[in-house]
Amino acid sequence: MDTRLHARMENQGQFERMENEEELERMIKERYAAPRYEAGTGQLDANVDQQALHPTVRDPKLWLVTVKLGKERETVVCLMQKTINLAKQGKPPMQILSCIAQDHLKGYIYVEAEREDHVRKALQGMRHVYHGKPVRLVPINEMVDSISVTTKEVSVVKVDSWVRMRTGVYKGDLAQVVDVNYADNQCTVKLVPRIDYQHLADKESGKAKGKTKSQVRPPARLFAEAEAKRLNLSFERGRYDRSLGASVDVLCSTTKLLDGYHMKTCSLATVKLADAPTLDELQKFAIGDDEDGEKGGNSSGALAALSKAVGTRKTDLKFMPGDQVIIVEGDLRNLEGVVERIDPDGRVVVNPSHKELNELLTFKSEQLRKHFKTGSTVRVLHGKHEGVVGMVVKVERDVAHIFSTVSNEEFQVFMHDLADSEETTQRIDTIGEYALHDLAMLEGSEVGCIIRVEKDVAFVMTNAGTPDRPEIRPVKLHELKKKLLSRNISAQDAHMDTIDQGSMVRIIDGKYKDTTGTVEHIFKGTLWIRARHVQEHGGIVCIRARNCVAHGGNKGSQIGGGLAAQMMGAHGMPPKSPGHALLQSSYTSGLRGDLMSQSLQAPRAAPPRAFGGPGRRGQDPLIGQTKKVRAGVYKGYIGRIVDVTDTSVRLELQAQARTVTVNREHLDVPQVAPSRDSFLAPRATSMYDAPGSRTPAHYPMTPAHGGGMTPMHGGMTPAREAAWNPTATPAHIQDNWEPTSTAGTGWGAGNVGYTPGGYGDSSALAGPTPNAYGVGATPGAAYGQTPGGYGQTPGGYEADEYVAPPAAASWPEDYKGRFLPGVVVRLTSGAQGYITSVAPAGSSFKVKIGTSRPRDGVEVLETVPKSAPEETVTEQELEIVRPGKKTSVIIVTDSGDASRGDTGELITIDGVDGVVRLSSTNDVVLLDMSCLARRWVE
Amino acid sequence: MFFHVNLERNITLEPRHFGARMKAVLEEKLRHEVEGTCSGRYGFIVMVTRLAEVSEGVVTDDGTARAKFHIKYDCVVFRPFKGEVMDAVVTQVNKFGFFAEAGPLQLFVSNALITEDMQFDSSGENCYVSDDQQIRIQRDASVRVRIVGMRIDANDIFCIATIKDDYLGLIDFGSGGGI
Repeated sequence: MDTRLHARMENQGQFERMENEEELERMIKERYAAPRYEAGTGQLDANVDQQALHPTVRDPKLWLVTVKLGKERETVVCLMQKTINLAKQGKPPMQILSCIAQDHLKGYIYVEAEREDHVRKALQGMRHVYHGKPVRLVPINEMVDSISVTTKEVSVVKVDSWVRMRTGVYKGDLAQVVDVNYADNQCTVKLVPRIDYQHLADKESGKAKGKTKSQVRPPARLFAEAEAKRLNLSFERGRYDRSLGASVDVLCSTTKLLDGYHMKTCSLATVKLADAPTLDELQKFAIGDDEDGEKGGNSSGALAALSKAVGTRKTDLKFMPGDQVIIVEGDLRNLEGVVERIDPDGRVVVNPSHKELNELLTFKSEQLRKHFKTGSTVRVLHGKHEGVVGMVVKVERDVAHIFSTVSNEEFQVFMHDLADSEETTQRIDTIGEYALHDLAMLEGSEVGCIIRVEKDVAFVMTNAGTPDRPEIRPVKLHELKKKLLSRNISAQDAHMDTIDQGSMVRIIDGKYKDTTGTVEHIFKGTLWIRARHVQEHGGIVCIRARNCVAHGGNKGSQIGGGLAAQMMGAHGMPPKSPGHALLQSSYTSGLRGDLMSQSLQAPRAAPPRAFGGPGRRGQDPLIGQTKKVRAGVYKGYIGRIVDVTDTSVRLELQAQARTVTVNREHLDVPQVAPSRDSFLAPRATSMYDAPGSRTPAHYPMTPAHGGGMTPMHGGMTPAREAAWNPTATPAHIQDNWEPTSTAGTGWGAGNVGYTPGGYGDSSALAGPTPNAYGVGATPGAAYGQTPGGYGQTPGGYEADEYVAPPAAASWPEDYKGRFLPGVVVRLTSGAQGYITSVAPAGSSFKVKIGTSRPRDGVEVLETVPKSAPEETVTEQELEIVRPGKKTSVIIVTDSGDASRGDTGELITIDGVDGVVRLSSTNDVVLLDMSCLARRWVE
Repeated sequence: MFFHVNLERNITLEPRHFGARMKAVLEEKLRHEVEGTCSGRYGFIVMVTRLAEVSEGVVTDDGTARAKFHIKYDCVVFRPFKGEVMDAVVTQVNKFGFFAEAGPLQLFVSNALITEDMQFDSSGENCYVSDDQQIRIQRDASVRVRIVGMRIDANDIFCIATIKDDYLGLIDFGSGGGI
């Protein structure tokens, strides 16, 4: 026993003597590692060594034993005791090799043994072991992991470290440790005091009994002696405190104060290490230094001191390749360089920016500090200003003064919280889909312009504020409802002039009087202006539109010269269309918007004539008319047309108080202008540039028309559309034009005469046949009811169906009447059919009866079955059916251009005249409707 | 620094301008579009001096029948550089420093970049006054500054400048007349 004690003492002595760590390490290695190496195969390099140490199948196994929770260590100690006892009693030792309890593994211990029954035998009689539970084998590949100890970085509260209080009135406050006593588990911290002087006074005078302490947390403020004096608190000056090694003041014999700070001694458990206090907090903490410090010391001095204090905290110094650094320690102090790479061991390889130093140098991260030159553009990585991009204006040790170009503010941050930023980078100023200076809808009906974006909050200037008192509110992303675009919105200034987005305005009222700025956003008469000379809120001012005056003209008229003149001309035009007022309300609708914005952001006044294509629709005669919907969801509805596009119309329903969009085809209106291309064809220029130029083009026709022409030419547009949109003819001007002359022959003659001349230059516009233009130019064609397709394929008709009229074959020579074979007739009974044959001298007619159906209020023959009955009737019983437009017709009375029996197609009807394209000559002629009869075509 | 450079740009023109005056309209439109703009590479485009080359117009295929013209033009650009010394007019003074303008360029001189002998004085109009009261930097004063940092946005350049150097600082009080 004695010898063993002695041996232990000796050992201890040996250990103590071996102060040299290396020696100690060597000794430990010798002692514990040697046997394994001997067991190994001998010469191995380090890598193989490690591999060799891994357990193999031949090695003893590791068993997991379930023990009572919290008794893991005790069990292990018991097992050790058992071993000792067995050895003492001279009994054979247990066959287990080792056992371990791990702190992080609750309820289990590991036992190393060859076989399970060895473990069981060893554990026999152990109190805390659950013998009922199986002993589990740890798989070989998990063995190493299960017993390797994860080295957790132990955070130790040390002198000078920054801590936060966990409890009490100082909860969450930053404190600096001034003294630590690990033995007593206590530390002394320096805090900005939160002293409730009144409460202390009450306590002194004994009045505090029964009085509850104020619920309000006293503000963190440096100790003010005057306050203490005022309340007559006991105050002891200059008592020497041994633990601090300095004389402190004691307030109320409890609170130790030093330089205005509270020196509080508390349990280590009530403080926790603070992770990287922010500069603001440190600044707050440093107020004291500022006030009590030396006279010349300005705040930067305090900061420097602070940075020094914080500088000790080197753990989170991180460098990135490309960082500008300066060496702060060692021979190479003040050498600047750029971080080349970071080695895995944490060393930083720096490429020095010095002429004569060309090789890379390796430094510990503690030897380096990030370095930014005045004027460099940087980005803040951490803290309150995270994400802000700015320029360095001043550098003081570890602290950089940054001027943010976004908010036009200056602030201070630690150098290590900065990173280089490209000069041209887009600043990080988006939050979700919202970017800086976007207009966003907020809760309720509030709208705000984002003026600053921070980590996860955006600051918006809402429309509730005024320039003098702007309402700035921080909002989270989810509070931003939707982005608003002001592109098509306008407002009116003090002089009722229009303000658009992008206009320059001058503020005429208030704080920013006479400031000019560009309109960024418009919302319901509120403008957000970006004014260069306004420094607050990044230059954004929120103001009512009527407190501004639009500067000069708006964009359109700034161009000057001819363009502007044109535009101004356009401006001056009064609204042209009856639907204009309505139009303005529905301005944002579709195509119009694009076109407007495309056309140089042209003024939003009435679409002027001079604009040609886009403006055309402004005058669409459809607008203002009441029409019925023929198909689609709104079939049967009647409404007034308020807006028209190429494909759809906006219809104000009569039956319901709403405006709907209806496909143009579904409307009781023929299609107009299907393609803009035809309008904007090169030659269109001359036509559009000068409105007048259109008129002459039409005038060559007039001679034949005489005075009758004029009234109908009032609306120019339809004529144009009819002529240039071969597929369609508008029916929007009703048959209100009655020619003064009813002589169809006269028309026809004129037709032939003028056509080529009038349209000579624009022959490419329609089909190849000159006569096609005659149709287009003919008032009857333009305003009639039959949409054609005539211009496009003039030659197409005679090719197939019209060539051989089935029944028009023959009739008796002596019959001079109008009821020719093929003519659709109505019998006195009301039934309709067509004439199949005519008896000599027209004594009787054979009529094949078909079925008819009402269409547009008129019974129209629809089908004639092959097996239909034929009736023999006399002329008196027959009545010619007036042909509808786009139907096949037969000329039943000789007239100037066509002889009896000729066939053709009725293109359109104009009052008493019909425009017919003869199938024989393909000529288009104007014939009196009385000369025409509908011809039945199978 | 000013440069006379040759730049290129595509201009689209609506069909209504196709005509005799087309070239004039193109030039007008070009001027309207580029003069006063700013790019990071060339700085502010001050003035278009000449249309060097106008390509034939190509009608765009977006259905609008506009024609696109590729124009090469000469223009005067104003591009500030780090380290450049320039004269500027003070536009605003506050406790952080003062803002100044050199033509289209905005500059900021932080009070960290103002000589130590000058203090901010807000008793009357905001200004920086030297200790001997001889120098006052206030609104409309002309100053000579050196650019130390630049921030180049897509359509603006902003500079940080200093007057803390030899021969920099106030050159004219502003209210007293021109330079």
